[in-house]
Amino acid sequence: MEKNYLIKPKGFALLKDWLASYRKHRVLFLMLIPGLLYFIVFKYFPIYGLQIAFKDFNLVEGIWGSDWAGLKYFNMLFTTKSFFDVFKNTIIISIYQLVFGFPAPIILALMLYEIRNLAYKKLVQTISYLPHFVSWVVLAGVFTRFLSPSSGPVNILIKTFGAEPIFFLGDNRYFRATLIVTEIWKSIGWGSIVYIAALSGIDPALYESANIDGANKIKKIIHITLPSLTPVITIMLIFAIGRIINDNFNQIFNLYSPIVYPTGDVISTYVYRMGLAKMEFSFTTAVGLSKNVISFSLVIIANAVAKKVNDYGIW
Amino acid sequence: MNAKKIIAILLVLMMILGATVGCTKNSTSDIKDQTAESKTEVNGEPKKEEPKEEKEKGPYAKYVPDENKVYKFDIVTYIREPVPDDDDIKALIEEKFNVKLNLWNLEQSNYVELLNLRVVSGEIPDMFEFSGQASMAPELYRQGVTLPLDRALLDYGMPNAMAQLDMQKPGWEDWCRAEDGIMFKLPDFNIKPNQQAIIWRGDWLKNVGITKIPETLEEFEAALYAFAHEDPNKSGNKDTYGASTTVMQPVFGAFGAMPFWSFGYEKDFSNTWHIKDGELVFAGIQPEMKDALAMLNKWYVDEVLDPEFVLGENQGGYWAHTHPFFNSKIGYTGHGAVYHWSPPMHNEHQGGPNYKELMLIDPAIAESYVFGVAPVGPNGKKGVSGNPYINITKGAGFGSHLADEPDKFGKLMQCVDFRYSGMENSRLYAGEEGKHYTFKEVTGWDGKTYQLQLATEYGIEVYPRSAERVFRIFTAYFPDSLSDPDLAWRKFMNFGEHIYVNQLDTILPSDAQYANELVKLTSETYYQIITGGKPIEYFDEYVDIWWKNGGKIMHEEANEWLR
Amino acid sequence: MKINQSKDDRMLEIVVSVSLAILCITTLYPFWNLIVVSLLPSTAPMSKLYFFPPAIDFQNYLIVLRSPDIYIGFRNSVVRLVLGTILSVIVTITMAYPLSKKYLPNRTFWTAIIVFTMYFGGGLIPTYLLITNTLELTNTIWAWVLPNLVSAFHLIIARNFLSSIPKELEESARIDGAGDFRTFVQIIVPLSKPIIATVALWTAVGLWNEWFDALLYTPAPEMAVLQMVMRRVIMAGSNSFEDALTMDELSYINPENLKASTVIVATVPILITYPFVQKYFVRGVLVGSLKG
Repeated sequence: MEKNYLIKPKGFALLKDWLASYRKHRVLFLMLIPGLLYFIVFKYFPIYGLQIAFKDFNLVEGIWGSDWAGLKYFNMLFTTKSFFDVFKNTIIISIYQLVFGFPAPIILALMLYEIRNLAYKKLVQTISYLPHFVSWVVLAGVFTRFLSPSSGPVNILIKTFGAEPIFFLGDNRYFRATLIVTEIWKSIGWGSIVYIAALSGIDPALYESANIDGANKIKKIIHITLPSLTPVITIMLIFAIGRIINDNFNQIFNLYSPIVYPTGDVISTYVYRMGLAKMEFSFTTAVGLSKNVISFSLVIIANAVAKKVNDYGIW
Repeated sequence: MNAKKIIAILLVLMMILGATVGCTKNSTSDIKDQTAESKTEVNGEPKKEEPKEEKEKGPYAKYVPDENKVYKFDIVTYIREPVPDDDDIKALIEEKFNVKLNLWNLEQSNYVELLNLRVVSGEIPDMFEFSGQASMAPELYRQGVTLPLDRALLDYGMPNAMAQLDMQKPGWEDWCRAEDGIMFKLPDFNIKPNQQAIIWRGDWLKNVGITKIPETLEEFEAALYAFAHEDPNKSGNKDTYGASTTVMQPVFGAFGAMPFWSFGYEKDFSNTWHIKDGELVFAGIQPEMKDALAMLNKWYVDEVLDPEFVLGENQGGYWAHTHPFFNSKIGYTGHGAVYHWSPPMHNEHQGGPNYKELMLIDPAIAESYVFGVAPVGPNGKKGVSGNPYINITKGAGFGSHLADEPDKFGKLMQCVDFRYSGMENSRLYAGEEGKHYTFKEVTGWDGKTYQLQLATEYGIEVYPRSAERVFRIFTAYFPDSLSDPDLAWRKFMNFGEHIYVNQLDTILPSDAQYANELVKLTSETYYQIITGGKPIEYFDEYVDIWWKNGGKIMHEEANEWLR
Repeated sequence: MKINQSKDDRMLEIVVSVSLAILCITTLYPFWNLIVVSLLPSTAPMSKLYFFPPAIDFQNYLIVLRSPDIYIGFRNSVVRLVLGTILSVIVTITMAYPLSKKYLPNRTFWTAIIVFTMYFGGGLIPTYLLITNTLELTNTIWAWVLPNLVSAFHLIIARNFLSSIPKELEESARIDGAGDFRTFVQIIVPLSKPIIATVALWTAVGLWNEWFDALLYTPAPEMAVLQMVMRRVIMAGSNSFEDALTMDELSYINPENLKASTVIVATVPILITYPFVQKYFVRGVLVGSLKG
């Protein structure tokens, strides 16, 4: 019972209240136990491994026996000349992704919700998930050929409208946009599942009363459907904001080239090219830890804002 | 408010966990100790006293194995598929040497991670076959996982293997030393000479009236211009270019340096160093590269160079495929190594993968392409990227714990040496003739007869079994083992004669800090200059930035290593 | 007025249907391309882009299906998927329910320590030591399912769904004197079908596609999962290119075609299960069960 100092110690009365509240909801608390055990054993127990980031990790000495290295491995990344550039690219691509990519699966879910024909609806759902199962290595080959300025179908289409062909993958002006569009395309179907699940919880009676009021579909979406999705959208948005510091390595690594480094080189691709990922546990851990501190801080901030705005958050 | 509270709570929780983990730490190390103990029990107690009779054998007496003991070896090899415990080749080897083998089935593509994890959890193999990453072997040595090697002891323990190494590459030890001067591995070789391909469309050359394979840079340039502007495919349209990404290597080579080290499939430039006037220099900043870039920029502007060259020649699928060449968009390519383009090597061979693919697309192209030579530049330099004879990513080493078990190390050395003590002995590892391998007579590309040794299983051809690589350091090389039409072809074609290799065969202390940064700088600058994003004069500025951002430190470290 | 509105609605429905059709066509292509490549005979050049296969050849599938370990791999993957998904869903939903209750003592704290694990963990080495040395799970089925039993993300999404279930639905049970656990089993679980289906789908797909942990924790040949076997088939096929000199039979294989067929073989089983999940995503599922 060492957690009792979590409550401001104002005497035994408080402690007693606190214990009583646990006794009252003991069944509820017991239901937490199996999951908590999992998190303690598999997530909290190994957390001592984080010290690798501050040590010169040695395979023979192990985690506890290795020598302390201070912030050496943090400096290794943050003091390189390109760090600011790749950091900036990561953030910009993530923000674009947030602005354009985040709403996409919601829109798809809403569109599917409006489809009356059940067979068509199921078909669209199933097909839109397919790209989720195809790896970026395979997709990159397909996109490289589809987007080729000389022979790709997309540019042939552009040329028939009389416009100049666009070098999507080799032009810094278009590279980020290409990343966003291809990522949306790949993940839109799979990403919509959670919204589709949430939509199935809406009470149809709400629509019936709206019909009586003579509301059209757009109005019903704005006044009934979207508000019922707010909680799940809020949660997803908070997590998405936490991911701003992350980038999609598999996508970018398979699509970029040195010519688009100015706009497309991101933290993970840069770290990969440093060639340390396999041998340098300390360095990898330091990079991961730095990213996660930022992510977690962002989640805390986003959560606080969300709670202020619509009284809804992760905790 | 809320967030603050959460952070406070989490800190408390982490402290509690820290305490818990602190307690459990001892228990994990106990387990480690136990496994270590049980290991030595299995292997028998390490000998502390020297056997009386062998005392006169001098300082190596303790390395004489105990004849009555069954040694158990943990071995990591390059495996294609897991070796089951009841593998019959493994049983054959165990019986021959009276040992027990425990082969670690580590998947090749995740070899380094898997091996590291096993080492961290307290298991170190007795013998390693390195693979995959050049930095792996020196790093394992630095961390105390592998045994420092002593040439005199190796001469005592495996004389045949050492004699073979000296025969294949005198002075090989210099490629296997760490920064402290100690030998950390035994080398493996690229026995077959290998280099980047140099491929011309023969029919295009004919169509533009060129009868001789270009040999100088002027002839090379003239051929590429003709491909771009003289309608080599007779289509009546301007729909061809001279070359794409992989034309860069021969051009750089003609000017005397090679800022690449791969076979043209990577778009990135490399951290390549050459020895120039007794000093290691970074290839990318050599002043001659400025002229090379000016030439490539001119080609780009004149539409001789495919504008899509920045993306590389491969558009997905098998990495050695070059789509612009396959689609008759360009008439020159250096994409892939020579063996990808090889014609059929004998009457039952289909040719290299690119030859095979072109046979399917259009046999006329496959039949018409010809191997060229690296063009000679203004100062008489030439070459493309290629493999050095010593393979820096491969080789073998031994577990550091063997220092305490000299008799076991002695036995291990005996087992290894057997492989290099004659043709017949080296075949033992391939199993039994007729059951595991067989010989096949073929007629080679040159009309000669070759005997191929083929692995079989119950009469069906298969890959050599993974157990076959037990106790292997490098490919044994006996005068009568040269029945290989491919090797004969590569020697006939003089491949590997004019190649640039990275002469900085080590990992510098400041590599982690600067190498990638400087390679990125080089890649960006080179592509920008070629595509006209930056003027050619920017090259001088680039050299300046290179020196100021860690280049100087790397240069000093590299030359210290060289000394 | 009324006619106008339904005209608008019909327009909207047409626009939606058409844009969904376009989306489907574009998303179908890469998968279709994989199918085409997997069916290409070895006599067709593979560096071309095909819309339809010039000829159909099942040789690549035969090679994949002939590999002796594939049935072991398939069986193991199915066992892992079923066991892992059931356990994960049970633990996740059981844990999500108390977390969805505002009156759970220190709810914020319990939620925060779970979300914390999404961002901070010990990494590969201590986890590996925990599973192999401390818990000694190597080469047991528990190593397939326990290390990633509960995802914090799934948990939060599930909690979120549960807290949106109208309280009135529970209250009738409470009046009958049911405790927390009985209310959960009898009222909440049946109402949570959409989220159970979602979590199950996410977990199942994750378990099915994951191979690295199997490589680490269940390296024994008889414990190989399907994705591991598939990787081996591809590696063996790719090697045939490098040393095709002696391997006459195998040098007919195109590794790219082989890769495509392994993707199809590994993906189709999980795609087939999707329609079973889909039937839980029906409009008004909550209200329906209230009436029933």
